[in-house]
Amino acid sequence: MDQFTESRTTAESTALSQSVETGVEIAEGFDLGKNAKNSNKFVERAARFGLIAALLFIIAVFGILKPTVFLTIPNLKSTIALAAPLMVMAIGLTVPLSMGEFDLSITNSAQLSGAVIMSLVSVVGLNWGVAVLIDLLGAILVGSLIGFIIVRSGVNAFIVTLGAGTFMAGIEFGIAHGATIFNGVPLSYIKIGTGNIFGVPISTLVGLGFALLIWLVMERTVAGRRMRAIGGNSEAARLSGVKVNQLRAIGFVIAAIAGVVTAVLFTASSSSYYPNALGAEMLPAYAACFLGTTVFRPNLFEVTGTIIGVAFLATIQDGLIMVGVSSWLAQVVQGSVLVLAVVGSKAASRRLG
Amino acid sequence: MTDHSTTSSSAGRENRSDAEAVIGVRGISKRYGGVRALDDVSMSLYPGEALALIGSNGAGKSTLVKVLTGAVIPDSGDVIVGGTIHQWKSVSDARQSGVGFVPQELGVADDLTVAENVLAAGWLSSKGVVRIAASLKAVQEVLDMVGLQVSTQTAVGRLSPGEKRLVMIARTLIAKPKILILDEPTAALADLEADRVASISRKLVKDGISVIYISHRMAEIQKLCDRVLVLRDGCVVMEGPATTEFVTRAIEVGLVGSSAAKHDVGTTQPGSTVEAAPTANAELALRCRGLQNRRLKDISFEVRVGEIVGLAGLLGSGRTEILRAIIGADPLTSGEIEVFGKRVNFKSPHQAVAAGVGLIPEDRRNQGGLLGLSIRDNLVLPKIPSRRMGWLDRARELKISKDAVDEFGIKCSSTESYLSSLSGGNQQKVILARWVMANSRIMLLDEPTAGVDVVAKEEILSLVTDLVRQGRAAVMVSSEIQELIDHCDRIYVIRDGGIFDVVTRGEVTSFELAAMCAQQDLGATSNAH
Repeated sequence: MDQFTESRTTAESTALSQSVETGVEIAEGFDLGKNAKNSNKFVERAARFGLIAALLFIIAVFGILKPTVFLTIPNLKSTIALAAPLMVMAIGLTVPLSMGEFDLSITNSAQLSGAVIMSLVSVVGLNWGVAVLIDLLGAILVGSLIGFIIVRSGVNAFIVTLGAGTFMAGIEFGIAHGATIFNGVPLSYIKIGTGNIFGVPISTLVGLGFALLIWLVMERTVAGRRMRAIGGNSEAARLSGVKVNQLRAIGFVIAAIAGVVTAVLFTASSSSYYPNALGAEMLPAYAACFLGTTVFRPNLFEVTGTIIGVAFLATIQDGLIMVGVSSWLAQVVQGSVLVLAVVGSKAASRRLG
Repeated sequence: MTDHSTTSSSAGRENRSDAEAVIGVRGISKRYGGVRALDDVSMSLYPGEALALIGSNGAGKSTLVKVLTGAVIPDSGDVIVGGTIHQWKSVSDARQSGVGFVPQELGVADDLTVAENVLAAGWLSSKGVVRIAASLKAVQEVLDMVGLQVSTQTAVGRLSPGEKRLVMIARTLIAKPKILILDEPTAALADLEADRVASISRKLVKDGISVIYISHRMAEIQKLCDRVLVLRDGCVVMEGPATTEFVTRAIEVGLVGSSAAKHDVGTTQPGSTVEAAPTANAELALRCRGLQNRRLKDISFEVRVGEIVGLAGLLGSGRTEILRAIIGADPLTSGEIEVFGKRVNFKSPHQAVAAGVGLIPEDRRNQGGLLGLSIRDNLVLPKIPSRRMGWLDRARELKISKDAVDEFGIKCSSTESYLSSLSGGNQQKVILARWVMANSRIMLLDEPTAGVDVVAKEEILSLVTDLVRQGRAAVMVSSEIQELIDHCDRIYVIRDGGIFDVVTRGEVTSFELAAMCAQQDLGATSNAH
């Protein structure tokens, strides 16, 4: 999480701390701590694969507790189908996060998209493909506007996206008036949420397809490399010729597109739009991203890590329901697991220096 | 070395014992990995005295200050305060022993008031309740001490840079230190403001505070300080009274830097180490005319292909700002820049990079390197190898990185290692190689050898020389005068945001150049004392 604190204005974060205190480790600019590098292989492995081990562990625990229902193909299918909207949102967030930016409007933008698409289909009677396309264009426009405001004004994305989210919640209510929209949703659209292709839920395929697309952008294109450079050190990236502001803005556009895909998945699987459908999904989406920074390449937001994070959260959720834990306890468990995993990984990577 | 004039020139002081000193160190050594930052250093500061501490980057100055302020625990040696040996474990221990430190970077919170800044360490309170009136009275007292006539409720952002510096000094004084360490307090200030801060420092000495004053401004040291101590390569190389003659000599030796150790000091043959300069009819690579902005005044100079042009000047003189203005990192208010004969107007570093101009920033950790990413990521950043449509060419990326590692002699286990796992010198080679990979033909080097060991220093400088001789051009800023004298074809002396003078290879000795950098506009200093 260092990149977030670093990217703040230096006035606030460092002004009052005497520089002697921070300078201890880099006296005269010489590097220290090289001797502590090799002895920490175990810690490094534990940090990298701790989450995957924990995932396997909880699968084993639930498998032993509920062997007949938990470790079954239908349960696997329903779990991954249910987790698809969460995954798309989390993948979408991974892009701005990789550049050190938060988008707190993503659940609102997904809900607004849901209201727009379903209104266009149900009330206006448009073809659902056209409806999704219109909504997609709108989302790209809004995402660009948010990105533009953030990079131009220099105001923290936190507050801008929080405001934008509230704004979108207002528009959403204005469109749907807090009602459920379910009339005249074509079967072909509902199929996206409920159907299977070769036994694999379509929503899972859509989610994985979106993940693959973003993975390709992040890992196989020049833009993705530059985004990672911005997350690594935005000033160094800027001085090396990276168009930092442009890419930061694009991050918000990608998050907005993820909102549209999420909207399609949740409206299709419930064959309706209903208010506050994703209200509780913000924390899990961020949790998945942060959990993801503990695997593979430590401290980097990346698509593969986020997928593991989503799998971890979805498995816990599914398992706890199956074991019959009451919902308050399920939340307690999820909250503590998140904090423990991230703190543990941070502590391990700090020991690595 | 010929400069150990210690005992003879300051005989009067030498008879004093350690017990008399308000603070002193005896036989302090400190190593960082393979680098010896301090080697058996001893020094004392006596009551009511101002001691000037001089030394270039990497001379051990900041390590010594860190030892004196408890920020660094020395490997061996003692810190003696008021006659007793102290073993501080932290900065607050040192603070409690009466050591106050004003760091060199301007660190004030612009949005807070003067009082809030001065009381950053804590307001006076009783039983957990802030005593506002008493606190403000204490603030007023220290403001009077530093001669700052502003309301305690003024937002610090509205003060001038010099006044902000005084706020920082006041903040340190609120703890009532017996010893005050001022690290280049006037470096980033224009002459008039610098004079004000220096005069206040003198007043504090008269008030009975003992001061260690780090500066390279000649007039200031003469006026303010009683004694001078010069560090080089982690050792005390000169110590003596602050006479005009001695201060001049001390600044020359201190600024010339560690590479001068190779030469017979004083008889350096300028230009002797490199072959003849390129001819004057080589292609013009970079031409700046009348560059002007917040910090710069009418900067004009040119660089030809095959040339290394040096920018000499003290910290805060505007050297860095010139380089930043050229690549569009800071805006210009007026002036023209031509790159290979073509008029350019870079609005952002991106355009400069595309035009083949690359900056190696002074602050490697925060502006140059991406420490948490791989060496490969760092090497290819300005020009990431791609196929059509922005798809990565990963094979070429890997090959380029491996070639760069070989070509530049970067010592690493693999191109995938984190940049942070490399030594400072190797990190700097990565950043240098970055611009070669990007085919930059103009390299702007800001303190390219800061914080790297002596061997890596030589490697980096010879790499730069080779690269330039292969048809590039370079502008180099360095605090080590000898480095500039050895490697630059022409050197511009920067002072107070403007070009003060220009010298060509062989025209001056390193000492003469150091003296040119350290001079101040003495017109502004008349009513001191």
